[in-house]
This record gives sequence, structure tokens and C-alpha cells, in this order.
Amino acid sequence: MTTTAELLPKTTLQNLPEFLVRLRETSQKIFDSKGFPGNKSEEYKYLSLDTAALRLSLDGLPKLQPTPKNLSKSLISFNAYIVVVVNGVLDIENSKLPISESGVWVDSLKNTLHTKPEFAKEIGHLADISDGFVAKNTAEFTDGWVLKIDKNVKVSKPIYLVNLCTGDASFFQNTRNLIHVGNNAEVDIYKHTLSLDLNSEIFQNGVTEVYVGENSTATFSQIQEGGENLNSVNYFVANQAANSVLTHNIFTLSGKVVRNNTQLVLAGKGAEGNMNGVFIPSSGETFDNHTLADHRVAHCNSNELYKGVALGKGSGVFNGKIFVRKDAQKTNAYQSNKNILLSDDANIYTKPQLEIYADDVKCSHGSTTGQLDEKAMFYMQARGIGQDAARKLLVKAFSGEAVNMVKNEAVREFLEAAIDRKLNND
Amino acid sequence: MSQEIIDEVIASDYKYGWSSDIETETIKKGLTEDTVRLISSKKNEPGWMLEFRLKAFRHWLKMTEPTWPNVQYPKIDFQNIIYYAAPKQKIELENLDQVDPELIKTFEKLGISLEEQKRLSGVRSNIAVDAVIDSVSVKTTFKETLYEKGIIFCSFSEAVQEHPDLIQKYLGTVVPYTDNFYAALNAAVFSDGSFCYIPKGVRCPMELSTYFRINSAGTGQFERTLLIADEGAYVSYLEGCTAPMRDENQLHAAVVELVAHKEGEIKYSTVQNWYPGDKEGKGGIYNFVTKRGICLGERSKISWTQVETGSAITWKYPSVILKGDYSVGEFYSVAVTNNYQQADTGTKMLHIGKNTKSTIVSKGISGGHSNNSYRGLVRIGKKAENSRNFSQCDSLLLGDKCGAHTFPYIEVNNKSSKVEHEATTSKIGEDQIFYCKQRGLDNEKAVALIVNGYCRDVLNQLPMEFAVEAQKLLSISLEGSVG
Amino acid sequence: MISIKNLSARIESKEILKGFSLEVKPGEIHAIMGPNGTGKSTLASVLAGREEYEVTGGEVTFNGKNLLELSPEDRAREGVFLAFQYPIEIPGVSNVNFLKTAMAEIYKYRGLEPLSAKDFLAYFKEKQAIVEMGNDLTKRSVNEGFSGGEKKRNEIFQMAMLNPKLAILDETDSGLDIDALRIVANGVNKVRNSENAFIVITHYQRLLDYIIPDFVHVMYDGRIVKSGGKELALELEEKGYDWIKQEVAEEA
Repeated sequence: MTTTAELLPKTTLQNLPEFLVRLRETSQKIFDSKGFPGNKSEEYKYLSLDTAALRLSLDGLPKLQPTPKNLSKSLISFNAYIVVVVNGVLDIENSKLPISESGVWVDSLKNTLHTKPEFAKEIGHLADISDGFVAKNTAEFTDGWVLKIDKNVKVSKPIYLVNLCTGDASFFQNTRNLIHVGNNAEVDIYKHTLSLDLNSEIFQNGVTEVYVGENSTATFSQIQEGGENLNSVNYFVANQAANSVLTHNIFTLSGKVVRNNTQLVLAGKGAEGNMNGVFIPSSGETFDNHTLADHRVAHCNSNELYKGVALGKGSGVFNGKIFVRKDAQKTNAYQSNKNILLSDDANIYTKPQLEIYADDVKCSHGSTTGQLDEKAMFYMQARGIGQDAARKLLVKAFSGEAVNMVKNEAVREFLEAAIDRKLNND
Repeated sequence: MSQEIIDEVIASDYKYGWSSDIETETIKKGLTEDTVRLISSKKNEPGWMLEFRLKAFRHWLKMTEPTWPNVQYPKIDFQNIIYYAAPKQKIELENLDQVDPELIKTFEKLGISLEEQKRLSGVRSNIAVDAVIDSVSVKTTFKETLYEKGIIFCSFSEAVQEHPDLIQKYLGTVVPYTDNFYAALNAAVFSDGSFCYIPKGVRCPMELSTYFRINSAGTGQFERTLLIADEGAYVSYLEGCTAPMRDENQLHAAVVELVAHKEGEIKYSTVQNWYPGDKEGKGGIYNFVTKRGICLGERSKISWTQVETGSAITWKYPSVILKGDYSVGEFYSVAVTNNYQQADTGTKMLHIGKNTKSTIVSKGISGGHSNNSYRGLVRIGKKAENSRNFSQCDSLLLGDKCGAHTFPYIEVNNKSSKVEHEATTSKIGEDQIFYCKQRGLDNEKAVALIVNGYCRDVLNQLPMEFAVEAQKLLSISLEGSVG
Repeated sequence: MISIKNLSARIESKEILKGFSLEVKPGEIHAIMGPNGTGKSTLASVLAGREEYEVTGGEVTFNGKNLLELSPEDRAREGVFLAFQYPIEIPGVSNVNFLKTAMAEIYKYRGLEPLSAKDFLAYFKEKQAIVEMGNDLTKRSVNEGFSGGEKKRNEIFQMAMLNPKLAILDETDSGLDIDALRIVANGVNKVRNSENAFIVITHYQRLLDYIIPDFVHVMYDGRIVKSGGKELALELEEKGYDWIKQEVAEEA
């Protein structure tokens, strides 16, 4: 349907820090020699990235799209700052930015490079360019957003990032985001990926680098409803300073191929990292979650809870690693992954890993894959609840454990309803 | 664990590190098609056997060594290995008096009696033994007693001559030579091993065992074992291994194939104590082994139990293909690494048939500077309805310079099955050690006791005779490990 | 038997024992009482040789030997037994195997031949009766899945098996119902003789109704502040510890 003619030529980013210019060159070399990782690579083993999606025009970006009028209907309605990003471009008009709140900065990466170039200096230090997708992103990112919370600032409202995909053009997009949370700060962030009138297949290759300062508390919850035309590789890496608490939640509800790489680096003593997720792939969907709890120093805790529900011909993947480095004594790390298959054509692949080089640690993981508890099903049926309703109740209870990790009630309710919808459509 | 304890506990020596002065015939180092032909001709093999070897060899030439295991070692020079070494003297079964006394002594020192009537240390009473030195089988005991029941238990070479039909029917059916690099190498150059066939409805009346000993320097050991339990048959098979202490690294690349027909059951136990190298990590055996069984018929069962304490590097995944409906696969493993040992071991449970069931219990214990990885795959196929797997993988760390890793792969492709996996990593409890000390036990005893308790689920699976030995072995392997 | 002179000890940087002194002779039972946090359990741990505690002063002589120089296992082998306040669980190690190993080690240390399997079992059965332990408990792993009371009984059973010269009972009565308390006390009374001695650390007087002490000491702030006969325990039961605290405060 779409040709490259409809795409705008790529612009070069101005004002990049010297370090980043060199990093982009190195990344380009790495990508040129390795290309995208295929399913032969151990890390992308279960991901059949449709090659057509990868072949999408790499030479330009779609023309600016007007934000669809009906957008607000698809959004979560709650009292929050709203940052609307359409096909990777910040739409200030439709956003409610925290302009009046002191110590909070949100802008597009492009603008930040001009107005606050010092903020951009942190880009590129956390993401691992040995991963082909990260290398590609680092070499070619065109824009993204920057969110900066000054030290001692407790942001008064949640920040709601809307990542909207729309339009008729096929494209491959590299977006680069940066979050900096200063010491003793507090923030609750939501990122909602959705598509409206997206009529061609697109590929989003996003990298988000996060710094969480000492004694600060941050939550970052992602709701992914990209729809059948969105392929995405979504890389999130956070560096946690001493005594910081970061909770990352991710709910993958729709999308064609969605790969979530979530990495928490526990770099300061006393840091706590939490990762929770629910993924519900149905026919034509592959949701692949890779997580890493990287314990670099002593006295840190990490907790992880991922729940998978595979429907129809859907494929779900969970691959989580607890990595305890040599000097990270007194580490407590827990990981739990539970999956249910609701169809004979669905697949679940899991690989919970422990890689441990320190001895005075408590680490464990548990993973189960099966079906809904038959006894519970029967009990409900015996009380007059129909099979379908019973199934929904049980799935709700099953996913609820992770949904409840979300701070905001409105978001929790939205998620419950969205999960219900997904089951209804199955 | 405090530094004093590390210092206090002293390392002990490998008990089986001596070598015997047995007159040995070896061939030239190196591997070409001629080497394969030479081995085959030395064994006077029929044409089909040579053909199998050559096909494997040609395939091997096209393959590259696997690099995915979590182990590090310098590249192996496959041209610097002797592929065939055999004690010069052939042993006459009837008359042990004519046997090189060095050979008999060698096995007695290892606690293995080659004389059927003789009972060594009173425990190895009712076990038939196939003794393999370097490349060849030197003696199989109780052969006749077993033959009366229709059980064939002999060296692989003998089976090629005496039971070609069975070998041709089963060889390479579970582990084809194309399977992996070392399986291909083994298929090309394997020199001997054990063969066992239990006919329909027969319960093997005694434990069968093979004792492998590497004696000569510079050699690789490539043995091949094939066990078949026909319908309703049962056999318990034990395997033990040792090698002398040498500065060089020696390669051991074995292949084991198990076939269980309808309602047949095979219990395969290994106590692997190849020389692990010295305290600095010099020398030791590279133990790269492919072991796989197939539950061909319904309600068949294959159970692997392994106690891995030796070898500089261990790379093995005894696996079960659960093809028959209601078949059962089990894997019980204790892997101990100390000093600079590396182990990457685990299992594969491939569920194909309906209502198949598998259990995995793995206990990894690492001390010194060692690295110990569990790697496993549980795959529930689309048609493997109502299948079950339970896995428990625990790691115990005895020091802060070692590593313990768990890499389980779980693939579930139908909804009526259930897979559960649990893993923990922790260090040995200081409170437990202190409690033991307060009751008068020293460090080593306390550690050995606690570790033995930790491994009990696995040790309980071993036949009595082996369990005692395995417990002792565990204690010895752990000496000097607490850091 | 044991002579503790001016013993001081700390954990991390906190001084807990502050010049503790006590003399115990064979055949004697000494009760040590006192409010929470005065260092009673620390005393037991220091005597048994827990590494977390650093001895900062004083000396302990046990039958002529400097106890503080010995490793924990050698103290046990010399005949010091500690009944733990919180006995540890050792999964997979049966009670029988545990005690067999411990006895073999202690016998070896003392230059004795270990008991034969038959003698060991007979001995085991005999001692089992003392604390009314069923076979099911002894066959199970050390303390694993035991109730609080069962753990304490198991401690006394182990004491009976190892037959120490000096047994230190660290709050063995805590968490016991009256029946279990009677069984535990009974066990102690059966083991006691003119050759051995006991230090009974307790918070309450009730244990001392069953195990009659020769001496009662009140410990406060890391040392003994008052000693007397068994009647002192009754007085404490009646009046509490406040008057002792007051006395100490007045002295200071």
C-alpha cells in the first residue's frame, strides 16, 4: 500500500554530545556487521520476527499525522499530566505537560538537545549495544522524549505517556527516551502504547534509559495495546542508585510481535528493583518478555512476578535472569513466573535463569505452566457459575496478582477491563 | 563463611590418581579416515560397522565444536590424541590365572573384583561387571549366569561379532551420529563399551555395571554403550569411572543409548569420578558425553541417576524421549565442582506421547573457584496431552569465588499439561555448621553431613552398593571446598 | 569444673557481657535468671564459641583448660553441651546419623573406640526413653518440621546421648507446655549425677520447680548482681526484677 515516497527524509540530529556521536558510529559498525538477531541467536530464540516487518523502509519517517479526534476515548481517564507522542513525535497541543510544576521537565529529545543539551549527556551509557536492536536504535534514533525530575521533587500527579501509532505508512522507527529521577525524588509514570487507524504494519524499536537517584522511588508501568499492525522491540534499562526503589510493570495485551527487554541494574547498596508483568497473546500474537535483575553490589533486593495467559494460537515467552555478580553478597532475589494455556494451539516458552557468583545470597525462582485449576473451576460451576464466567474469574484472579502491583486505581480498573475484553474476543 | 574456615579446611588428594604399569598397545596420534579404518580392522569389524564409522567421520569433518555450554577451555587439538589404546593381553574368560596380575590388581585397587566368586569389601556382592580399560573391555563377569536368562551382557565389540542383528537394529537410533560434534566423533572412533539386551518379560536378577578406567597417557576414551529393555523387561545398570592424575587434559567422549520397549524399565546410575585436575586446575578429564534414552513403548520408564564429582569439565545431559503413552522419565543428579572444575550438566525431557510424566531433581554444589551450571529442557509436544513435569534445581555455594547457574528451558505446546519448575540458590548455613560443631563435628564433617542431607533425594535413588560409595565420594570431593 | 572470671564480650560494637564471673563445681546446678536483654543467651553462645561474639576480657577455665582457646567442636568434645534456644533444622540428615557421627567424633577425640552399630542402637533406644521420644521423631531429619516442644526434647535427648560434663540449657523451657516441661526436666534429672554440672538459663521460675537448683544467680546488664539459693528464684517470681534493678542503680 505504502511507498517510500510518502515518507519524509530522515533528518540528522543536531547538538549531539561528542560521546554520543562516537557511540552512534560504533553502533552503526556493530549493526552493519551483525544485523538484526534472528531466531538462531540464543536471546531471540523464540521470536519469529517477521522479516517483512524488518524490511520496512528504513529510509524515512511518516509525514506528521494529525492526532485522531477520538483519541481521548481510548485513553485512561485519570488525573495525570499527559504527554502525547504520535508516531514518535511529541504532540504538545494534545498534551497536558507539567509546565507549572517546578523541577519536572518533559520535552522531545530533539528540543532537549537544543534547549537543555546537558540533560542529553546521559543518553547511551546504559543500553547494551551488543544487542542488534539496541545498536540499530543507537545508530539511527531520530527522536524520543526526555523526562527529568529534579532532586527532592515529589511529582504531584502521575505522568501519562501516550505512545500512539497511526496512519497509512509502513515504517521502522527508532525512538530513544531518557528518564532521570534525582535523589530523594518520587514519580509515578505510565506509558500507554496504542494504535488508532493504523492501516499498515509498522515496527517500533524503542530504547528507554533510566537513572533512579539515591533514596528515590519511581514506578514505570507500561500498557501495550499496539494492535495487529504493531511490531515492537521495547528495551528498558534502569540504573538504580543506593536505597532507590524502582517498580517496573508491563502489561502486554495486543500487538503482532512484541518483545520487551527489561533490565534493572542494582548499582547502589540497598536498592530494590521490582518487575511485574502480564502477557496475554492470542492468535497471531507473540509476546516475548526478557528480564534481567543485575545485582552489581551487596545488600540489594529484587522481586519479579510475571503471569502469562496464552489464548488461541498465541505464543508467550518469559525469559528472566537473576544475575548476582561476585561482590553482591547479601542479595535477596526472587522470581516467579506462572503461565496458563487456555487453548490447545497456544504455546508458552519459559527460561527462568539464575547466574550467581556470590555465596551469601538467597535467590530462587519458580515457574509453572499449566491450565486453570480444575477443582476451582468445578467448585464455581457447582455454585452455578457458567464455565465461561468461571474461566474469566479465574483468569482475573490469576492476572490480578500482577495487576495489583500498579499504584493507580484508575489504571488498575482500566487494565482489568482491558483483560476482560481480550478474553471476550478470544 | 569466615576466612579461618577456608584456611582451616585442607584439600585432599584424588584417591584414584595412580596409574598402572600395564603393557599397552597404542596406535599413532591423530585422526584421519585411515585411523577410523585401522580401529575397525583391529576389531575385525564387519563392513557395515566400518561404513557407519566412516559416514560419521565424514559428517564430523563438517561439524564445529559447540560453544554454547557455560564452560571455558583451550581449543582441543584433535590430531594430538591417541584414539586407540588397549592392554596387550586378551583375557581368557575361563582362566583368570593367566591374566596380567597388574590388570587384576588395578581393578582390585579400584574396588572391583574380576573374579565372580570374590567379594571385595563385602558390598559389591551381586553385580555383574564389564571392565573397560582405555579403549577396550577387558573382562565381563557373570556373563554365563545372565545368558541362562537370555540376557546378553558383553562388551560392545563382542556384540558386534555375536549379535550383529541387534546392533544394526538399534545402533544410532537414539543418538544418531549427526546429533552433535562429540557424538559424531564417538561414532567414528569408538573403541568399545558395553552392550546389554534384556529379553521380553525378564527382570535382570543382578545389577549390571561397567567400570571405565582411563590408564594410558595421551589417549582419549570413546566408549559406546547400548542398553535395550524389551517388553516388560527390567534392568538396573551402574557405571563408574576413574582416571590417573596427569598434567594433561584427556578427552572422554562417550555415547550411551537406551531403548525401553512397552512396559520395559531401565535404571541407569552413574558415579563419575574422572580425575578432576589439581588444585590449580591443571590436568583432568574433559568429559563430553551424550546420553539419551527413548521410552519407545507405552508405560516404559527410563531413570537416570548421576553423581558427578570428577572431571575438569563435564558437559552432559542425560535425556529421555517420552514417546510411548504413559511413559516415565526421571533424572536425579548431584554435581559437585571444586577447585577449578566446570560442569554444565542437566537433562532434556521430550514429551511426545500422551500422559507422559517426568521428574527432574538436580543438586549442584560448588566450591573453590569452580562453576556449576544446570541446563535443562522440558518440552511438551502438541500431542502430549495430560503430561506432567516437575523440576527442582537447587544450588549450594560453598564459597565466594565459585559460581552456580541455572538455565532451564521450558516449552509447553498443549493446554492439558502441567510443568512446574523450582530453583533455589543459597549458601551452606553457618548456623547449621555451628550446630554440628557444638555437637563435636569438625568443619569438614559438618559440611559433608549437611551436603549429604542436601543431596539425599538423589542419593536415595542409587542402588545400595553405589549409595555408600557416592556418599564417601561426596565427602572427599568437598574437602577443601569450604571457602 | 568451670571457672568464669570477669568475662566481657561484645557483638559488633555492642558490649553485652561486662565482667561476668561464675564458679561451677561437679554435681551442681546453677540457675541464671534475669530480665530480657541482660546477656543470658550471649553467655551461652560465648561459652559454646559462637564466632559472632568477640571476647574482650576475662578468662574461662574448663577442667584446667582455657576454654576460650578451643574451637566450638573441641569444646563440645571436652564435654560442654549447649541446648540451643532455637535449635536449627538440618534437612536430609537423620537424627540417628547425626548423633552417630557426633559420637564417633567425640570418642575419637577422647581416644576411645567408637561404639559398634549394635551398641549404639541399644544406647540410642535407652536414651530415647528418657525424653519419651517416639521412633518417628528420631528417624526424621534433625529438627526438621519439629514443633517447638519437640525441638527442645530433641535437645535434651542429644544431651543424654552425648553425656556432657557441663550442660548449658538456654531457655529450654520457653515455649513448652506443662507436659513438655515435665518431660524435659525429667530428662535433665535423669542425666544429672555427681560428676556433671548444669547451667540453667531461664526467664521464669517454673522450670526450677522441676529442676532444683543449688544456686540461683540474677544477671543484669552483663554480669551477676545477686546470688542465692533456690529461694531467691521464688522471691524473684513474687517481686519481679525491678527491685534488683533499683539495688543496682543505688549501688552505682
